[in-house]
Amino acid sequence: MKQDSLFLTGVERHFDEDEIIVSKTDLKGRITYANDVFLRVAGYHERDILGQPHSIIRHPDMPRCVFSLLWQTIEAGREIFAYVINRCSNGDHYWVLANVTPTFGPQGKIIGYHSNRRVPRRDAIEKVIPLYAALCEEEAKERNRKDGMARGTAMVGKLLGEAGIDYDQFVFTL
Amino acid sequence: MINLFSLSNLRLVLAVCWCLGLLTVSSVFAVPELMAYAIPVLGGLLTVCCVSGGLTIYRQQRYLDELCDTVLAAADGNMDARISNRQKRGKLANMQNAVNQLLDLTEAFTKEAAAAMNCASRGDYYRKIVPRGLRGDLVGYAEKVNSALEIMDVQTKTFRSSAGRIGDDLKLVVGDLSNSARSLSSNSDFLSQNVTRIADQAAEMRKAAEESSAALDGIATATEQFSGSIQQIGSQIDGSATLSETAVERARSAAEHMERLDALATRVTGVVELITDVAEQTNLLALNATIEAARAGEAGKGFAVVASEVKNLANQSSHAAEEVIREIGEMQEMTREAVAFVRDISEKINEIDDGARLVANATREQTDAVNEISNRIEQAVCRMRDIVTSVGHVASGTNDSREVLVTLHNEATGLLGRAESLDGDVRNFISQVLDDRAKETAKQA
Repeated sequence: MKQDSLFLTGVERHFDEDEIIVSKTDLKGRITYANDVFLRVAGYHERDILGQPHSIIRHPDMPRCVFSLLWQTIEAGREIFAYVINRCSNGDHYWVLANVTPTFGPQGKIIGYHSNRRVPRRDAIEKVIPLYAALCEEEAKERNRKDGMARGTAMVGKLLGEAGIDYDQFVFTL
Repeated sequence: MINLFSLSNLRLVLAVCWCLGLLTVSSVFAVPELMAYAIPVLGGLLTVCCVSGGLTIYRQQRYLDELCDTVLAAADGNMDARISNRQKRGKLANMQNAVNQLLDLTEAFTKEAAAAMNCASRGDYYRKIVPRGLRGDLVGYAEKVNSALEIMDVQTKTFRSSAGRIGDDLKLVVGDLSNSARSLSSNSDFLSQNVTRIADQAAEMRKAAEESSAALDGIATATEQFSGSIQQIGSQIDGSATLSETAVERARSAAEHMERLDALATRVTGVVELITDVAEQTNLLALNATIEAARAGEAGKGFAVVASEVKNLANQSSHAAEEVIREIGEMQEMTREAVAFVRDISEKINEIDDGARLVANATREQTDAVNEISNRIEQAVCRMRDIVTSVGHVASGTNDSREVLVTLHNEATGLLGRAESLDGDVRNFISQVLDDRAKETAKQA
């Protein structure tokens, strides 16, 4: 399924502030658990989504470099926070503040990943939207996805370097 | 079929009830056709009911098993466990969702708390528990943890700034201490070398002073001897002056005696001239006697002999007198020469006497000068002895100082070592306090 062909309605969905969207994946990113908030907001039945790659809810406005950073971080065994826009099954979208963590087995090996998604602050989303747009634009300058992602990553590095903070602290300043 | 089983349980029950009703009506009103129709339908429906009920029970059992497994896993502390393949509605579905939500919240809170603590353990407190999405008591707990983190952040910042300030002060103090110790060490080293040199010089000086002292002692002795000799010379010169006075007196007396002798010789010459006159008259008498004897002839012959003898004697006397006069003349000549000599000697003695007086005066002055020299030399000897003693004190003092400086140098070196060790400790302390996050990051990298 090509991202370009995804149907979008432009309608934003919301969930309550005392709710958490929870999902779990195996090491390859295939969904092993989605809570009822996930199913309700994303508009999927459990049986439709279990075993599917998590990218099933990927929205085309998400820069690739953010997911690259996300996977690098969690594969290294660390947690990450990220503002993410997701696509619902009907083409609607919803914003989350995702906290993705690796899940460790008894031997300390990563056995899966776990994402808790909360309602993001609106002012943070207003800052993130132009930033992601700029990153997507930067990534779109390369025809090759990998090269585009590298450009986006370079841009993130430059912005953080100019601000003089690391990514983790940056996310909390938004 | 699944839909049929899962959705139509009520409809099946209704159908069975409808069939049972139909059967009851047909038996009451004795309608065999209806009964013939209703019995197999009822049978079929009951069969379907049994199968459906069995399947439902089986499925319920499976849901319950998964629910039970999940709850048991959670009870064992496995927060990762969840129930998937849930029912869509009903109490069981509510329970499944409730268990999942309980686990979602618990795991979220636990992971949040762990992440915040992990960050805090590296000395960073910006990572707090995100309270949004939490419910009930968990919100309160999250707020408690977050406010604790806030306090820790403030306290850590205060501690770090205090520690940093103290560390900076300590670094300065330790740096000063190191510099002072290094300077002390090198200065004491330098002083020690100088003192060693001074001690060596003092030893040489002492040796030289002792030699000088000995030389001065020799000079003092020689000067005393010299002084004695000069005094002796003076007294001898005084003695010789007296002697020369006596000699001049004696020479004058000798000259007078000689002049008197000359007068006596003159007088003797008169006597000798008288004798010569006598001898000439005697000779004349002898001549007369000879003439008279010749006149007497034979008788006078003997007399003639006597007269001849007398004439000889008179001649001899005359010769003798001439001899005497000549001798006296010589004697007078010699006497006069002697007088001249004696006068000359007397003058010479007077000159010597004058010279001796000058020498005596000079000797007296010399004696005074030598005495002065002797006194000075004695003072010099005393001073030199003092110098030797002083230099000895200097030498022993410098030796003591050298020992003190060696001790000082060793202590300074020890102090420097301790200062450097302290410097290291301080640096470690500061880097531990301030850079532990950097270290942690490096460790993780």
